[in-house]
Amino acid sequence: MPIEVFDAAAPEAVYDFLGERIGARGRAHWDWKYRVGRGGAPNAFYWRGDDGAVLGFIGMMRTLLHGPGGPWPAAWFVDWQVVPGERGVGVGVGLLRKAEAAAGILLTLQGSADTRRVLPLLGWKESPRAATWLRPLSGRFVAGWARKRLPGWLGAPVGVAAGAALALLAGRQSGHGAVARDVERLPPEHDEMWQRRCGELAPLMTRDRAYVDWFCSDYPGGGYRIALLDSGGVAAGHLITRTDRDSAGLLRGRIVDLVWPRAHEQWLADAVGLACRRLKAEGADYVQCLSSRPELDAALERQRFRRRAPVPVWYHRLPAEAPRPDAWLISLLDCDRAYR
Amino acid sequence: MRSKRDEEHGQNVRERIVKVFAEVFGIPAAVVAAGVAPDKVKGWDSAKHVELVVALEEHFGCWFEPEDVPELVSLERMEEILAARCGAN
Repeated sequence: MPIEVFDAAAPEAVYDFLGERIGARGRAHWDWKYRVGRGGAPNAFYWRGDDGAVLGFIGMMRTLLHGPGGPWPAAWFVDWQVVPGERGVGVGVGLLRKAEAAAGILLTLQGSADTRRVLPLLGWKESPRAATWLRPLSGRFVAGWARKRLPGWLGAPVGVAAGAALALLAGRQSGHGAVARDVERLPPEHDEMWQRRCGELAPLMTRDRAYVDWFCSDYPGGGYRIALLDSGGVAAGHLITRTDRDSAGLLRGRIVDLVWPRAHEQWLADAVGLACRRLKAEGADYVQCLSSRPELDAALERQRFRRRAPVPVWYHRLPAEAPRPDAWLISLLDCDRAYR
Repeated sequence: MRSKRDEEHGQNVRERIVKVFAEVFGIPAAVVAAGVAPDKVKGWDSAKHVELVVALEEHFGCWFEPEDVPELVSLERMEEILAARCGAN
């Protein structure tokens, strides 16, 4: 069998392949990401040639899609790579079909240029609703933007002026009651809140403590900041943020995930503002957020975010009774970019 | 031993494969019939292979197993796999 499950028996050649083709993240990262040695359904497959060489890999991040009539088993496919040249021809599609058969609903977000070229040929569709949003937080970020778009002599003064204005705006609060309580791991009361909010926010992917703790608290690289959002002393949602250095050397803040009481629009805008203030305090030059729903779009606009690039959801063979991806609430927690 | 009727059916499947291949790659059927391989056909990359797989499945009304897909790299293997998976013979 050329297709093998990526499990504890996988040879070192698979880790070498991942390190060379995807990134040098180390064995601990891959074992964490694909839950190697923890039993359960397979989360990744690789293609082994007759000579033992690894010719391709596909990983899945399993989840559940909650919604009326659900939940439905689903998985985001990630780390889909094959060796270049003739030996790789057909291997990628074979692995994708293996993942489809193993996943229930198989999905991916955005995808590489090659992925976007191949998926339509296989009958996959895309929903363009989701998009990244961005808000500058520092003069350094604005100066970098200005250098690319304005005459050179204007870049520095624009950055200084923008930095002062952003510092003033960042401090504003409207006081509608979102209070963050930092936690290392989500407590049991979170799941009581999740059970209440799940129906309000559906359709969306699982956000229980086991899932969130695995992807954030247990991430080998650390760096996630998890907070319960209290309203009137009771857990009403959660906020997950993170900072990373981007390729330009700027500190990128991310609102990785946000769960909120749906009935309170102002509360949501406050929670977004709270996230920005926390990231600003950590030194972030800008904040990035992924939004797929109009109420979060509106809250982001109120907090001076601007819509940037679309992040299409690619899907294939949804059950007829499942909600279409245009209606799903997704965040950076749902896509691999948060863990690269 | 194959009967004449079996050979005619086999030839028919081969001709149909050649026709599908020629349409996908935009090359004359006579060239295809002489034999194909990824290193001999210009433009046979991963994406083109996907087109070929989908076109063969649609034409023959069948579904290839994941392990079959990279094997579809010669007329002989296409014929064998179509016979095994789709009963095309």
